[in-house]
Amino acid sequence: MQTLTIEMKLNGKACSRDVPVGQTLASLLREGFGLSTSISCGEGNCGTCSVLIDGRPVRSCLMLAVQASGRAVTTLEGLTDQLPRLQKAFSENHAIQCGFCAPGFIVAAAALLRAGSRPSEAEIRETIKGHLCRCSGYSGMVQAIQDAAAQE
Amino acid sequence: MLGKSIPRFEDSRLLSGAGRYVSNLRLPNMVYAAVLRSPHAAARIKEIQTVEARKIPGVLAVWTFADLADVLKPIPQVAPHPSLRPRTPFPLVKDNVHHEGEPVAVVAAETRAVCREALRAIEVTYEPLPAVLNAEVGMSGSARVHDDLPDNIAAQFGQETGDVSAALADCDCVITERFTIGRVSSQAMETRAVVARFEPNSSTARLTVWTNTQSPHLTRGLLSQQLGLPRHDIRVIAPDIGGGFGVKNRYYPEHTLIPLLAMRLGQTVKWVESRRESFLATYHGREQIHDATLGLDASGRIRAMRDRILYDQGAYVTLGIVVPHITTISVPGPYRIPNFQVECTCVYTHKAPSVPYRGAGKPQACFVMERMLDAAAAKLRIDPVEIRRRNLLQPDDFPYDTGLKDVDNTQVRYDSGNYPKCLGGVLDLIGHGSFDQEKRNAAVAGRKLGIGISCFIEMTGRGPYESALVRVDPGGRIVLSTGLSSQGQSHETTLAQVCADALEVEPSSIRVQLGDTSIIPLGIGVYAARSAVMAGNAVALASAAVREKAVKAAAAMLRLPPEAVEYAGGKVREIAEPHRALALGEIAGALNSPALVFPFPPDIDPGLEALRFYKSTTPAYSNGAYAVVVEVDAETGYVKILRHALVHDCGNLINPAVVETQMTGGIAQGIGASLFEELHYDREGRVLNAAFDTYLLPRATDVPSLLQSHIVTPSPFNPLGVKGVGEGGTIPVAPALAAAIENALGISGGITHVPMTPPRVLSLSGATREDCSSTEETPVAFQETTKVT
Repeated sequence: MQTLTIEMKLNGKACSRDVPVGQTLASLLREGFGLSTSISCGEGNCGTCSVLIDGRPVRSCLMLAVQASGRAVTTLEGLTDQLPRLQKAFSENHAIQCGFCAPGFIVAAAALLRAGSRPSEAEIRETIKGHLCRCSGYSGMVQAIQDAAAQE
Repeated sequence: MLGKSIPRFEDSRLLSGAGRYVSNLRLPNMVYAAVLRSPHAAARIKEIQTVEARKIPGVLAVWTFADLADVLKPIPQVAPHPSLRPRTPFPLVKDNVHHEGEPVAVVAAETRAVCREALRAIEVTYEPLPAVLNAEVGMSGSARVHDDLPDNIAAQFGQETGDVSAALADCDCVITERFTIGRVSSQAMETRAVVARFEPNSSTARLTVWTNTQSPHLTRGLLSQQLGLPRHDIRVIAPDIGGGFGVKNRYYPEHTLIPLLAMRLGQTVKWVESRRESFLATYHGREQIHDATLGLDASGRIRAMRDRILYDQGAYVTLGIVVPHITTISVPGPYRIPNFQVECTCVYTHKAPSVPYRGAGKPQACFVMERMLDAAAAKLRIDPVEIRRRNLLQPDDFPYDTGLKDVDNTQVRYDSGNYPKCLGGVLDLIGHGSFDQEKRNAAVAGRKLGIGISCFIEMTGRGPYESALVRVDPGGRIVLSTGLSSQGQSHETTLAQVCADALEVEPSSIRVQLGDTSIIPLGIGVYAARSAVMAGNAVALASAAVREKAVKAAAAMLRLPPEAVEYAGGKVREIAEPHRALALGEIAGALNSPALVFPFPPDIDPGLEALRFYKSTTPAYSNGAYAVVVEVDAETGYVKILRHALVHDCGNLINPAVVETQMTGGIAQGIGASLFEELHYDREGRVLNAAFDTYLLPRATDVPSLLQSHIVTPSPFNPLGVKGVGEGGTIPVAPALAAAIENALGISGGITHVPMTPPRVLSLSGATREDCSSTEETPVAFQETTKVT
């Protein structure tokens, strides 16, 4: 498969890679960089593989790696500002169970909180409804995101 | 330490992206595998051409049944039963395909992309055959799933207490109804995955298999049978698992195929299931038809019940009659039914096998019982709450023998509970007393509100045993190992709490090891809400044994008689002079020192450690009551849950927050199965909705926060007094939602099918009770068939 050289800012650091043109961003992040980004449906329906592109949440399974060229890509590992309080709030609220979906939810929550907002329960539910969790029933996550917002 | 909602120890790993899921595993010298699956549900394979696929650069293997005919054996049926005519699959289809998604060929290649290319290059010629897609039709024998079974019947069984025919003849009110429960897919967020490595010259286990199984030791046993390797030459590792829900407790064809590739290629081989494959090839659950008859006296007391069940087994049986049998004994639920008769027929169809999925036969039973009670309440003009009160078992009824026999022929005996208290509690929590006013107020604004309640029990803690090994090292560090693996149930936290309580140390000082056959010789696994009951009590036994041994050894070390010392706060001290104390680490060091600093008393073995098994054939029964208030959109049929509440009793709680999140998550799955989830098939037996955009799971906007509280009636059947909670949430949801939807629409009866999707609700809304019977998707309303007074 043809490859192209891309340059992007990944979790705050500039990097350059030769990538096959057909490779998804999710695959590059997992295979090429060993990051936590997980794939659950691979069809853009579950939100598990979400990452931030220039601060906005994107499903990395639906994006080609070459499309990330020139952009800032942030995975859970790169959420240095919001991660500690989100982790604390998720843990205190027993928000997750198996944890497979957690990186996607945390990325989405970070994007919501980055706006400096104090989202209502309804706003949080609306924001995370594009993400599937099969274990938790969502309540703990909603409360955790509210708690994390309150700590801002 | 028991009863405290401490945060989970697994969170530091899982919330930092460091979860050790098999699908994320990367090992040196690793190649990839993929499976070619049948697009047909019923077909004969006439020819498979693999020549082109084998030519593709990077392809390492392309195998069909013929290539492995010398080694492949049918996957064993692990729960034999006299009534069963078992048929199990080969890991690759031999002659005939029996369900869509069945593995026809397996390939290995250097990259995933090459795997996909190889799959596309394999040419299979199928001769399609007529498909059996319905249990009822299947019994008529019009087509066969297995050539040697003309009636397609896999098993038939039943039992009776009392005399149902005589009792029904004496009833004031008899109701009959047919209920149908749709086929569902469990859809954990992590799909199945297997990684295998074979090291022929290893000095320890030669074959290592990483797989997201709920039962590593059981998987090892089946791998041994399938591969012909000694059981103890195989190590199965089940690290963090992204959800299980029962279906990951089964042994699948890939468990054999991927290790075979690793053994023959001499390379580490990784396979991860795609989402579509997880819909087609990961086993299904739930589909049943019930023809039920309930007889009551004029005061609404149940006199007799009969239930005839058809269970759509799918193409193969891998776990005996476990699920349908659980359904048969679960129909009476929390109620006293003096005469009860149940018959069940399991029928092979051309669908993926049906296996235990969270709830394992109990949600169907609860739906039938609760719906029948609602119908009886309407018929007798008794309040739905009151008719339940009149039939619930009372606190002084326990232990209560139902008169029924479990699948292992033991008596079905409920241990303890206060069922009326749960019902009363949930009415308060949901605001039952003021709901009529709320409904009237909403009606003024044109909104249709409804309320529904249901009562349920949950059989938990299946035997035969679970294991625990507690070890203390000379540094005083405690490592606890069990035969469990974790699919998110918080075992690393709750089992540490049990151990910490017994040893009087901090839970955070205990490291819990799970999911690896090398850490403990024997184990069973995680299913049937058994971890708290079976592993919890095993940990309690092993911890108590360590404590006892520490006391005995410390007394000898201090040159004192055992009665002169006591255990306190993780140390053993002299009662008379408490400053003379030995920490657990010191005792462990003395018990395992190469230098003979301390002569062992003759009755003490080396090491401060204990392996114990908790054995039990007496399940513990959790129970609860669930209530839900919904708003039905008459234009779209969408059911919005405004609030829902649970009052639950699972005996002593190890970690209340863990219990609450288990219940919340279980109820969310119950909501999915009640309102959205059902597999649909075309006429040839192909699944029409094998993706998340057509098979809808509940999302954050579908599931409001759950109001819940717990009462505590300890189980007298196990030392910790605990009862399991893993499956419970899925059980009571469907009947409560059905009642609430009917209440909102102002109808009584009519909802007899799960799930209650918007089109089905729409077909009810606006309809009167009479014309419900003429709609295609909603069977006949409840009707009275016999009245003898």
